[in-house]
Amino acid sequence: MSQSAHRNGSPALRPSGPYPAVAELLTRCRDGDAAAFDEVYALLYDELRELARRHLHGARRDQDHTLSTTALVHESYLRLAGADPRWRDCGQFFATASKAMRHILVDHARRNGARKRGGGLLRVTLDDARVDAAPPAIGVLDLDVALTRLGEYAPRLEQVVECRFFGGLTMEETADTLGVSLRTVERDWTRAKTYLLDLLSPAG
Amino acid sequence: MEDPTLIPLERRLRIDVLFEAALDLGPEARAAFLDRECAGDPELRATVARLLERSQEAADFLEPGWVAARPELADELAAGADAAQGDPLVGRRVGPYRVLRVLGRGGSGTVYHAERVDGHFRQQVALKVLRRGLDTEDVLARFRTERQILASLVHPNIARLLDGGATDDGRPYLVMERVDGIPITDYCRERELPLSDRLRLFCTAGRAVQHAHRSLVVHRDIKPSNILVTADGTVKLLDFGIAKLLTGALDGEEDIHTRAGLRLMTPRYATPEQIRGEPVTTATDVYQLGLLLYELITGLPACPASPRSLAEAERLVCEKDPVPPSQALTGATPAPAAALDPELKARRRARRRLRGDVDTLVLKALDKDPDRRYASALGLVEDVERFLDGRPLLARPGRWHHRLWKLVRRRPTAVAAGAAVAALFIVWLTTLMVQSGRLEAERDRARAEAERAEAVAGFLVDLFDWRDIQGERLDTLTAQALLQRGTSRLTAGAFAVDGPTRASLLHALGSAYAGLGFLDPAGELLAEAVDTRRRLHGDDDPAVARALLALGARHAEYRYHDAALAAYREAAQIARFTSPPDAGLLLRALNGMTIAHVAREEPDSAYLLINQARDLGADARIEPIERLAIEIRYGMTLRAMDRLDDAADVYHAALRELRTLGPSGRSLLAAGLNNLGYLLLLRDDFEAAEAVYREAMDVRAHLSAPDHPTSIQVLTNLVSSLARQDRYDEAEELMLWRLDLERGRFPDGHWRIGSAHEALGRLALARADSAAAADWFSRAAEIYEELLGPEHAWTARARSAVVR
Repeated sequence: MSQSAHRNGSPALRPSGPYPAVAELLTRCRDGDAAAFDEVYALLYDELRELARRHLHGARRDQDHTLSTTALVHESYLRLAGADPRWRDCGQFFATASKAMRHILVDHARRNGARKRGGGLLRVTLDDARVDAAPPAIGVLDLDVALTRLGEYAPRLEQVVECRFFGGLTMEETADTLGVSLRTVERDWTRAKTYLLDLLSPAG
Repeated sequence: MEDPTLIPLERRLRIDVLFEAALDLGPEARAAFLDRECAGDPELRATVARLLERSQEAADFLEPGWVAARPELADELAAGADAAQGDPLVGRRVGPYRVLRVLGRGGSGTVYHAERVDGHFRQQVALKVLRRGLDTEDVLARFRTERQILASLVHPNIARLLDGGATDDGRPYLVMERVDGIPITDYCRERELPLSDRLRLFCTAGRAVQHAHRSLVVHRDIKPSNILVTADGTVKLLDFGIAKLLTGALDGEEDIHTRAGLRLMTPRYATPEQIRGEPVTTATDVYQLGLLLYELITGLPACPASPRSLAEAERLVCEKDPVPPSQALTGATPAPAAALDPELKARRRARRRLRGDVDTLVLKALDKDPDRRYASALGLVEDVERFLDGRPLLARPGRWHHRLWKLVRRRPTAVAAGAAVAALFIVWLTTLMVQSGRLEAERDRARAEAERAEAVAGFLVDLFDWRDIQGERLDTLTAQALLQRGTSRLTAGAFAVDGPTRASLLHALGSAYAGLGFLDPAGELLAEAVDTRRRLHGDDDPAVARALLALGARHAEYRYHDAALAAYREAAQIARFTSPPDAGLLLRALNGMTIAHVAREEPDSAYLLINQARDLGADARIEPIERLAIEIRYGMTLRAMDRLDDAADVYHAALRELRTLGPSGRSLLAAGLNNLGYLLLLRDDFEAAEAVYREAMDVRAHLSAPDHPTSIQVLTNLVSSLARQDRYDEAEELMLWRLDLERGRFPDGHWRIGSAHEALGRLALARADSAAAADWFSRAAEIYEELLGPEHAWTARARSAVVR
């Protein structure tokens, strides 16, 4: 069994303030160190959850989710990065934060809604077959399922959707984050949305 | 909706490349582009065109305005950022798995959604990490051994145990197949399934339990939340055998004496023996299946309230009889599932039947006394299926002495008379120890088998590896192509396995070829299996004998009776000199030799051999099915000796017994009926022969598709019984069906198709249609000539029939 995840610091040793180690971890992520990615993911998951909790308790609930998630992701960046110059080229951060955000949202939707929704793609199909006036009821879980499927054969498209939709990043930020050109991100975004819509639509 | 996971990867990539390229083009250029790129593949063109159309719709999809127009989703997203419970493992790695989120928490630990990150493909799994305190040395040891047994439990309706180990801080964890579904009871309620559909789901779950029991695994914690149904209606049982691991983990070896086991039961779904602290057996699972059945039928749990203490559990579970399902339905308590069930609402008769049959079978499964329940999960499932088919149940309503005995047992003080109880206890303990010793031995064997199975599974996975399948779509590979692939990979040494596993694979591939009727490759592979085993284990090993039996059966199928006889004879020698002599092997060898001698028209030799088999069977206390197999061959021998009356008596007696055996006796029943039919044809009793062959057809219908070679043999025999009654139209209709079946299964030039043509020719001849007969015979002759050459006896036979 792998010991690598904790060789570089166990959860108990994590400092409580801004985490100077994060910048270094992110650099290692960029170089393809999977263990470093795990560390960062765990940090961000906790951090984002904590931020979100504070937002909610402050009774500030935006109707537009992209604003609130964008705010969360960016706020976590500010908190973690501070004025540390090593953070300049850490695009990896936003990809990871977006993934964590996705899972936080999906967790919540699952706990709250799963029982009354009956779940999954099937319901969408049934609704669509019946009405065309109301927009199809696509929920976070439906999106998550479809996105996971997409990611099974097109991992980069999955990442683009994570950044754009769950992380609320702009096209430019997404391009920086994933280290590809703006043109590529735009095309990927269209492809990803098309495939997702196709997955979420009734047969036709 | 098009499910991309169903499209082969290469095609998916092709679609994506075309779609991406077309996105950059204007509308007219797109059409021309698609015409050019998808020429000859209209399906591909349609798919890409559909995607292009979708991309228009997708323009504002997932954009802020789109979300704003969907208040439910926007709400879900805005609120979602709350609440995720902090968990130190989320985001970290456990072994090769990355933990994504918490799925649930229980008394024994936490279940996470995780994904495997070290391979090329991402695999979603459920990861169960035990809580602290369960991480002692012997628990870990137990885990290591039990895991292998559980990992070998492979069934489409059982969530697989994939892996296991210990976290960095030493807590044991298990990795299971992740199932995205909802509890079976919720599924039935939400979809408002009628009773028959609910019972069918139940039967699927019950058969999965039976499968596990055959591998010596008891679930111990069957309840709705452990039986999930996915969106496509697949039933999956979770956590098989896990309760056992945990109970052992908590209580060590003492759990049968203390009642600490209660801690790990789900009180509402506990069984009387669990509460009494008695040993848990397969009967425990039968009881819990009964509870599930009760809930599926009535929409209410059988145990009305969750007991809060051991005393209350004893009263509710061990003493109180459940309200019969029919009363739960009709009683004052509203029963939601039943009220919604159109079948029940509509038909009073159904309710009456429920009162009788369903009450009987549910209450039998829920008997407080494990020995009075259904003997197996299969028994319960089969009675439910009988109910579904409208056949009488095997279960009988409880009788007076049963109720009386229950009264006695409800007053334990009356029977707890010191010495007697102590004596009983010692007997019980001894039995338990003997049993556990036997289990230990079976476990060891199972473990060796598990390792073998692992290697074989690897070989199978390798067979389906798409990267190596060139020019063939995975979904259109035939069984034959897979066998070919497996054979060439194995013989070319592309798959590294140890000698015994290699021999097993050769044996399995050879038998599979023989089963499909491809006797040439079967012969080569089985001969190699025999040779490999001779080299590995020596000439006298039972494993050699097993391969020889398979080889003999293949020779017999090819009508190479001399070769079959030689193989069987050697197998019999080995079986005789194995220490202790292997009666099962010897019996199979003697049976084979008998068949070969009968086929060579040497009834006297057959008679000597089959009588040896009968004597041996009488001594060896063999299974009924094995004894009946000998009897059927005994009848065949008597028939060959022209002792037709004696043969008929032997057949009738054996068949009578076989009919009562149920599914396990079917294959032999069909074979026996087929033999009896031949005897009746010899006696010119064609009507009786027809009836017997028709029964054989019905039995075969349970065993295989109609195009299986054995089913076709029976069909052909039925045709001759009809033809002998001059019922040519019916005969010809059936024979044309046979030809269809053979064509569906074998390539055009196959000898079996030639043989079907010949049979049709004989029928045409019998009703004096010589033109049609000549036509059929000449087509048969062409097939034989192409296949076997002009000089072959079959070609000559068919040609001469044309001339006549």
